[in-house]
Amino acid sequence: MEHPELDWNALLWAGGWLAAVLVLFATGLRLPLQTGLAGWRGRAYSAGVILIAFGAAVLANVALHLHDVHFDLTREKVYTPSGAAMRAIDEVSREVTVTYFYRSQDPAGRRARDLLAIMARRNPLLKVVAVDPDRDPRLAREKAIQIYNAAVVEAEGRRVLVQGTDETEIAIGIQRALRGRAITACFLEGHGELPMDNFEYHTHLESGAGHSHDDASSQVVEMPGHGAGRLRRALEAQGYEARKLILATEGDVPAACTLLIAANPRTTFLPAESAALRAYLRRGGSALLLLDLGFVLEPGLARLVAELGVRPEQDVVVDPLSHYSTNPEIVAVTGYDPHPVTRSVSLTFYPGVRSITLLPPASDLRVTPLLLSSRDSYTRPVKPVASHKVEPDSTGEKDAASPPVSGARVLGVAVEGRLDRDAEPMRAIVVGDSDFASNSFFPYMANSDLLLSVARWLAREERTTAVAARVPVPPLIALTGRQSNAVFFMVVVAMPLLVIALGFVVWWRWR
Amino acid sequence: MRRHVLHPVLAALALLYLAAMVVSGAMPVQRQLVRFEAKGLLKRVPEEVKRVELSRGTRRVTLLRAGETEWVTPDGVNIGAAGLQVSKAVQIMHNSGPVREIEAAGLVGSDPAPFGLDPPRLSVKLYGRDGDLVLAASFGEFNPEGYLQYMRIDGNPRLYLMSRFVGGEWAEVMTGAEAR
Repeated sequence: MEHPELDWNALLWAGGWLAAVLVLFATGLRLPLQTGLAGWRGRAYSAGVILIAFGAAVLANVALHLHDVHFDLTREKVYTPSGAAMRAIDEVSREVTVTYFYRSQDPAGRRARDLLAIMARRNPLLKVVAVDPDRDPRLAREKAIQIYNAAVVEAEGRRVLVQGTDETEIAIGIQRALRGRAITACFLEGHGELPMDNFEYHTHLESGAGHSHDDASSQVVEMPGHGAGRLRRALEAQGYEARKLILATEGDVPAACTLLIAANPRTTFLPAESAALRAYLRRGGSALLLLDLGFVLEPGLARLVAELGVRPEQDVVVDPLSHYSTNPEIVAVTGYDPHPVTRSVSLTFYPGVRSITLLPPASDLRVTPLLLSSRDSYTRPVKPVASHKVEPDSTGEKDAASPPVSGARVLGVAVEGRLDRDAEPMRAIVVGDSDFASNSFFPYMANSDLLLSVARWLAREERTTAVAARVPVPPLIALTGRQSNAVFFMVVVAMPLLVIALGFVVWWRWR
Repeated sequence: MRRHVLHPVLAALALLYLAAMVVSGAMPVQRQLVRFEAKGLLKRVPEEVKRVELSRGTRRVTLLRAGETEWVTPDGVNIGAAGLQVSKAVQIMHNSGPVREIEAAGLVGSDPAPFGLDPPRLSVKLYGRDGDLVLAASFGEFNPEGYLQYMRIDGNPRLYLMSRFVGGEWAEVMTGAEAR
């Protein structure tokens, strides 16, 4: 969990307050009880001392109240809202009311109530009402609440219901209530894409030599049988709507599609589908094109992608320097050039990613390389799957024979601007891999952060703070080959030998 | 201390420590071996309840115990098989404890009307052998979640949330009596 830095300003105020109170207390102890003053002077002295003490107590309390500071001494910062949630609260510019229904016997509910109170103190436009529905059933019935741990977020006549005790989800609910427009992510289907309804995943990493996910000619890892359900759920947690889009039947990309996601198309587009995609981008649409190895672009789609200034190559990037786990074909990206998409993204990794060649884009488009492999990386040609072939590939054998040339490869780009003079401004992101967005790899490292950031940029929401809901994943320990061998040696070899050796020493001494 | 004395003393201390652990410890509680414990607000054993008075709206029903599961009206009419349900309702009042108790201080500022206790949906009075009032309970509305029911005990400022099956048993007894 992300946590805000220590608020030194508030800490200084609190320290100063404590010092001031101690000084006043020490001064009070030095005041003489017997002054020797008689008559009204003595009474005035006593009344004055009482009044000053009372005034100082009121002053101290008011001062502390106006410089509210919150210390969370737990190691996990259990009682501190996440930094992203706090930043989202800082951005609240219109009045929002959160009515939180919790059971006062439930520690998780009480924690959420306390975190909401801290968030409300951060921004006066956020009003928080915490209600135990058993004690105040009228309000619960008014808000149609029948469950515990539910937050009703209301802003400008809109109402969002958030279930749970996670303050980040409530912060996302606040963003949703304030958004004021619907954002629809259309998942393209019909070409063997990762289905948005599929939640199947693997909890292990495997290469082509092991589990069979791969293109036969490569060691790369691909997940053709898995889905993008986790990506869909993460988008829905952001308040986006998700729907399927089958271009072959619909004929056109609906205007309701704020962004279009083509995650791992496997079979070739029809020319009309490529034309519909181009028309959508000309109308100012946004597209995320995850074009994995083996996918052959239909000429119309290839022309569109070339207009965007890129050409996905039929080769796999091998990165001996920067890779995830022990597989150099799972390219890891640890640094990014400045761009709104990668502003707060750390390590991401791409199993079996194809390289992208930059071309001169259409006149009004700006192309920014987002993802680059390390300078030690090289590419290895991979033959397209025969069934996907549109044109004979005469270069494969020749390239396979040539020695690899090391150098940074472009793995993904962001494109922004107009396709032609009469077109509306569009946005697109093209990545030479889709596995990183599949259920098996989406939650790990910063892959989910990157994809959510991509979706927010495509939806033109990059100015608001990104608050990502957590994706529950089984615990995973990633070991390098050397670490795996060390564990094996310790458990299977060294420890039994140690027991035998100790037994031998004991026998020797008793002999 | 000399070395030959040190070890026996340390061993004796270790034994004493283990003995202290045995004396001060407790058997781990295993859920399947937990002893049954009646947690209801009716503290007396159910068999000691000899008379039941129910009221719902303007209707009043009085039943007298004639046996373990036999109950009769004040006119001496045996209610037959319905008596089993009365005994069961008394048993549940003895066995089933409140899911939640809200102190009177916790209700300050709350609107009492939604609890449905003024007037109550259903009132139950249980009397003992000597005609002494053992328990008088009033059942109100269900909580917003719908699984619990508000209940109040006469002379007790606390508000109880009981499983809805507790009041439900009495409601069925009342409905059966009204149908007779």
